Amino acid sequence: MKTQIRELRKKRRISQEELAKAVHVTRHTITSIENEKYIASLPLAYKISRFFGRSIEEVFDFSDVEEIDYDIF
Amino acid sequence: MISFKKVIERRLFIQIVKATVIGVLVIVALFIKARLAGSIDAVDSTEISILVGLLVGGEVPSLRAIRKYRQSLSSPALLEELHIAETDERNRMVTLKTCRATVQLTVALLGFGGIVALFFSRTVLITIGAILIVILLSYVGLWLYYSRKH
Repeated sequence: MKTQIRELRKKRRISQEELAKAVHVTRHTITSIENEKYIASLPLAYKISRFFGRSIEEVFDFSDVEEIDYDIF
Repeated sequence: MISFKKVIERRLFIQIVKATVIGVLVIVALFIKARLAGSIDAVDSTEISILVGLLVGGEVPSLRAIRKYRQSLSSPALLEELHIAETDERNRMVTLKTCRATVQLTVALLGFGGIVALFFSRTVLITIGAILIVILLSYVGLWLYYSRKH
């Protein structure tokens, strides 16, 4: 899932580590979300959006939500 | 965070008890073996190897956990770091996927082993069959439990 996290983070000059600490996850989770390797849960998406003062739709791109290929294995 | 601190304190206590019990049991077993054999030198080296293996295999993870928990309890920053590492949703997903893949791989390997054992040993075949049945029953039981819980 595409997100605006990297852009918002750079705009605010916040490191992945700082964002991770603020939303109480590891830096790897933020990296994976930014690289579209992991889809954040609803509570985490809410926390990240609230951190940037934006709505979830502004931070996370739901346009391709129907095409998300959930890993079944 | 206070409740997590209590969880870590409880885990620390359990690890200390575990390390102590394993250590005492192995030393007692070694002592009994030495008494029965006459001296420690007369004890079969394979038995000593097994006991040392049990001691190392049981103590090393416990000692590592004790060290980690004690460090975390001594520093709020380390405690928070541990809390984040344990509650991080991606870490939990990775753990879940790893566990699921491990179980699937184990079942597949046991099934393959069962087919191979069919030609060589009836005892091994029955043992593997029993293990597969226990895994299946555990899976069904746990699936029912969690599907009702959530």
